[in-house]
Parts: sequence; C-alpha cells; structure tokens
Amino acid sequence: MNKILLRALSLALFSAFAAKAGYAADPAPIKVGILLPLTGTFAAVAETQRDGALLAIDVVNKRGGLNMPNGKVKVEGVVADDEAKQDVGVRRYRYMVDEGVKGLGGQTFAPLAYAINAMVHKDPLPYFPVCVMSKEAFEKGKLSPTHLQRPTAHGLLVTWPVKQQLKL
Amino acid sequence: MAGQAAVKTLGKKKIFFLARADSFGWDIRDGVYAAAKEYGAEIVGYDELSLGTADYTTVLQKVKAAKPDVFIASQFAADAVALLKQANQMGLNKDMTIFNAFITNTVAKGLPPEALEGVYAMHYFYYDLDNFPDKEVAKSAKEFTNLYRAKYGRPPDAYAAIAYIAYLEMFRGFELSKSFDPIKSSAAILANGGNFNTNVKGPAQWREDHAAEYKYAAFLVKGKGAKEQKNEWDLFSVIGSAGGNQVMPSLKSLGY
Repeated sequence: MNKILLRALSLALFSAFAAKAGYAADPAPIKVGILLPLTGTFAAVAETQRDGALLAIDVVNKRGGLNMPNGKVKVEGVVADDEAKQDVGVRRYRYMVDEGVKGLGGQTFAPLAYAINAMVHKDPLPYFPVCVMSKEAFEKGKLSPTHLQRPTAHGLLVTWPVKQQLKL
Repeated sequence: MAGQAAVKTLGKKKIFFLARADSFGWDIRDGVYAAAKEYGAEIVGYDELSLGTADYTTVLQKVKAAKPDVFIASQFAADAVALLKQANQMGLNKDMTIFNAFITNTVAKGLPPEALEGVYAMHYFYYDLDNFPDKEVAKSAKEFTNLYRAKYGRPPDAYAAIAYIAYLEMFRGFELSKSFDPIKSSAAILANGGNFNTNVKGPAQWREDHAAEYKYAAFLVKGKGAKEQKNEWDLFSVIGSAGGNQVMPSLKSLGY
C-alpha cells in the first residue's frame, strides 16, 4: 500500500514538474489587433484585409510561433469592426489596447487611421495601417515613431498611369 | 522631354476628374493635376462626392457633357462598383477611356463584365503575374497565391496582400528586436536601410518617414470583358507597373 502511495505521489510530482517545465518552454501567446470596417462601403475589401492578416498569423504559428528570447510565442488575432467611423474605431482601438494587443493593423478609411496614429503617438504601439493615409500624415513630427505602413502617395502613384493614359 | 514629345505628338488631352471628398481623393487629385500640368493636358471638369455615394447620375451627366478623352475617378470599393456600373449604363465607356484610380478584385467581381471591360486602373497586387517581365516577382506572387488559395479557396486580392505584408513585417520587428517593445521593434525594421523582401511582390524598403517604398508599388491593369475571361477570377490584364521613389513624396517635401 505504501509503495502504491509513493508511486502515486512521485507521478503527481513529476506531472507538476513537467507541466511547469512545459510552461516555461512554451510562453503564452500574444494578441495582435485586426481592426477593419467589416460593415459599410468598405466591407468587401476589409474582409480581404482581415484574411490576409489571419494568413500571416497562420504562417508564423505553423512554424511554431515567433522566435523570442523566452521561446516560441504563438500569435492570436483579435478582430473587430471599426465601421469606417472615427468614434467607433477609436472606441474599438481602446478595447484592443485593454485586451493587451502587442500590435495593431487595419483601417481602410484614412481619416480613422490618422486618428489612431495620434493615439499611438501618445501611447506607443506598433501600428500598421493597411490603408492609404494622407501625405500630410507623414510630415515630420506628425507621425508616431511606431507607425509603419505601405506606400502612402496615392496622388503621386496615380501620376504615372495618368501619363500612360495621355500617351494612349 | 518625353512629356513635350507626347504632347506634341498627341496633342492636348482632356481629363475629367472625380474625387472622393476626403484626403484619399484629394491626394489623387493632386497627382492627376501634376501629370496634366507636365503633359499639357486640360482638366475639363472636376467634381467631388462623399464616401458612400450611391447615385452618380448627375455627375456622370456632367462628365458626358464635358466630353473628356479620359474620365478619372478616385471612388473605391462599393462606391467604385456603383460608379462603374452607372457609367456603363449611361454609355460612357463608348465615348471615353475610363480610369478608376485604385481597383480591387472585389470591385471587379461586383461589376457585369461589360462594365469592367476596358476600364484602366492601378491594382496594388494582382495575383496573376505569369506574363510579368520580372520572373522572380511572378514566382513569389504565385507562391503567395497558392498559399492563400489553400486557405480560402480563391486568389488573394490587393488589400489581402497589403495586410499580409504588414503583419509579417510587424512580426519581423518583434523577432529582430527580440522584444514586443514598440519603439525597439519599429527601430529594428528601419535599421540597415530598412530593406526587406515582401515575399509577395518583390523588394521594398522602409523609409525615414515610415512609408514602404516598393519596387512594384502598383500594377496598371485593364479590365477584361466576358470574351476574354477564362474563369471567374480572370479579371484583368497587367499592362505595366509603377514603383520606386518617383511614386513617393520626397522626404524633403515632408520635412525630413
């Protein structure tokens, strides 16, 4: 009887140790925000933006997660609808911050991205708007140091094809 | 010199420009006006409408009356679907070239083929680059498309590619800086000239103003009609590309 009790106790201790060791080797996942106008004029485009973001998360998780000093860290996407409205978008941005997201991407409506840039400027967060912000937003001093994004120069970008049109 | 030659050879061209009444539309307007000035083209009409406009009849009547060679519109997403449908219904496609500044597959799918046929536009990433001259880019586009198709059962659209690139860059910043600290991760991807590979549409570089400068920022596409479309996703022909620093505002102009 004593032998059985001893074995059970050993097993319990081993399990507890293994669980603790496993926790150390497998840190908690991080959350990243995906904030897009999933209703309204931009909805169809926003769905494709969401799918692209979720695919990137899949790619990282399939290789075990992010390579960080404390081990492989998995990523979870937190999706919310900004409705292409400034007030709604700002509230849901705050919700995402409260949820503890480590980074944020999104927006299709440029004025909302500008508003979120201002908030990120105040309280830094990696911010990747996947829309087109005004050229003015990129002037020195206006951009948050943690704001990064794709080409912004819609106006200039369209100059080239217009030139092509003029040649047609 | 090229501009002068084009104007001398082809004569003055007439443009009608329709903006969306916000920074998106106004920035495009500035680009169109710059091109027109360089090439001696004439802006024969301008109007602007707010996001979410559903009925374009009145403005399209103005376009018709102005008789431009090219009608350029900055409407996007559902607005572009409504505009291009109505332009086709009113016969504008027969009278002039229609140029929608930035288009997506979702817009094209919302149009009857006759409304898409012959429409020119810029597309941030069109999945079918098989005939694109840069074979490296064509290969990476295909790999990304296969990956996306495997998950969603359809080819990726322009803004899916943008989001995919953006999030992978966010993750690269975390890994490079070995930290989730926003300042450190941002600095990490801007370091060493900010060069990176999109693994979707070729190389790019983060600039000092935190904008990405792509070798292929966007592709010039032409909409296909019913006879040209080989399958439900065969929407455009890629006829060119634009990228590099010439499609970006100079850092100096932004105060850097």
